[in-house]
Amino acid sequence: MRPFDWAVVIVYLTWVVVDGLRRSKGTDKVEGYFLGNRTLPWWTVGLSVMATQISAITLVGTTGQGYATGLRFVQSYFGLPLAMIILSLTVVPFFTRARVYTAYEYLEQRFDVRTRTATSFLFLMGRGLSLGVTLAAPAVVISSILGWSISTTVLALAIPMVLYTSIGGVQAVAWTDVKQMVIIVTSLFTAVGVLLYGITKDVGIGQAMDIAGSTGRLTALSFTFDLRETYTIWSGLLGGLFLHLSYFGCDQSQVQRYLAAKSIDEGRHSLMMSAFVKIPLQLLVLGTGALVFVFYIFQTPPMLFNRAHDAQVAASPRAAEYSSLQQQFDGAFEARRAAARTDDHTGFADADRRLQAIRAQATQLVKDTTGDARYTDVNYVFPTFITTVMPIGLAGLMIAAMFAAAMSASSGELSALSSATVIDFYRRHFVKEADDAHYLKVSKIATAVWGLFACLVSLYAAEQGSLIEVVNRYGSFFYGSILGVFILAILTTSANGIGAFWGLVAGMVVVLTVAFTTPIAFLWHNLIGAVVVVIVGLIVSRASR
Amino acid sequence: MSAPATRQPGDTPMTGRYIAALVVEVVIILLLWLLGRVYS
Repeated sequence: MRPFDWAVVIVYLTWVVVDGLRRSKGTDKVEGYFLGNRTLPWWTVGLSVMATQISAITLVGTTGQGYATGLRFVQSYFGLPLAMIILSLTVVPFFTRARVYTAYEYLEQRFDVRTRTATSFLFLMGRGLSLGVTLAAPAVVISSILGWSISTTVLALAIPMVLYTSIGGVQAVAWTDVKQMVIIVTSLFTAVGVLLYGITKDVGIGQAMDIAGSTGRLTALSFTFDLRETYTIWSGLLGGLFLHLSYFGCDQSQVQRYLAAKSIDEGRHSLMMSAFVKIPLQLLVLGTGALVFVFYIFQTPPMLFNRAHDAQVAASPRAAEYSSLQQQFDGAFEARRAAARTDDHTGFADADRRLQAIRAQATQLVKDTTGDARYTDVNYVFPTFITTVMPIGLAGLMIAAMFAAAMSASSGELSALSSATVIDFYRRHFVKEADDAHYLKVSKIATAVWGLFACLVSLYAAEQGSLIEVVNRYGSFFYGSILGVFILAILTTSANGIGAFWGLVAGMVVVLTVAFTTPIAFLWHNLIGAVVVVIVGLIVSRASR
Repeated sequence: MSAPATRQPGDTPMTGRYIAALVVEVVIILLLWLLGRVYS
């Protein structure tokens, strides 16, 4: 990183905080703080919803997936457009008319306080921990790129974000998200431009597509019906439908945003923006990764992209072994480049297989030497490209985009955690009669406390790869079950509070059992959870009449 | 269902938009299928 790149990052961070604080006008009441007085235009809400989903780990992890396996991951979004349509027809009008602050508040209107409290509690537990991971995962990668300690990186991400979220509330979050989306998309298109410029110095676009296609990176669809396979068109359409119904329809970090829209129509338009844009956006991210793969066919890549680990192994007792692998890697790289230039498909495939095998050996060597058994080199591909290839100023823009993605993903979650804490617990169970100023003060404190909690979790999680995995899996344990409760609430008339509560418990138990005892891929857990809750909920409701 | 039967201001049907979203998705899936067929 050069001084001008640093200047770009610092200007961006300052701008985000100052503008976020400026947006705090009109947040002198709880409704203004949590819902922007229900006055936000659809495009602001729509961009904010999408910004919350693009975390920094999406930028580095998904481009890494594009680099390693191509476009396949996009299938997990195939259920999203239909989910947006269903939600536009159901929960958007229901929640907006109910004038609720949280999705779970509606469940008390429909069922009882126990069901509301249980679902809100599940949300707080899941999101509270995952917010720490949302900060920790990018902090691990960014710290490696910038050479900072993880704690410094976590604080650099968290302090500006907690500041503008706790003072400005959802208005600051939404308007900051808009700017962050602009930065993220601009930086991705810039990266694509730089990649295409670099690639076309060696080959034409057609030959580049041929090369990417010959390695399977342009094969996006898998029609195999195998419940164990994570990304197929069926898991994407069915499992993904339930995942996105649950995430957009029952997760307060999303619901809070369209509750802030001016009207039912504006809320619907904001969700439909995702229906139109999300899949192309995901293809842009994955396609960028695939282009990085083609780029590094002609430009020498490092054998391992995490330079910190590379240096560690080179200084270890197994340095000679590593050096020998490096020599083999250089030879295989030259053979692959020559084959690509002469359109020799067989020679290219042979050399590519050799390269992948050498990288796998080098990765294992890193794991053995550093003790980091969960090391995944693909997360460092795009950051390496940014810091070593992107021109001056644009590298700074890309790093600013990574900060933007980390903060936009976290700030929405933080505001949602605060709203569920204050509305579903503090105001409902502890201090029922107080003036608005009191609840506003408590809301700001709750935001700051959740921000502090997230920092502590992220500092711990950054050192515990297994914890990150557990927390990520936790999300898929409860998403489908909560969706089932909302299906009972909105689409049935015969379900009651007892049925909804015990349906929720049954759904959680079944999903946990399936997750730990079968190889069924996680996208299906959401469908299973929702179906079990609805069936058990209806049976118990009928039996308890 | 507890939704009111009559529509309120700011609550209009968007059937055309919903159909357009599904058509766009089908087109994207078809293009991805073609991409995989041509470059594999």
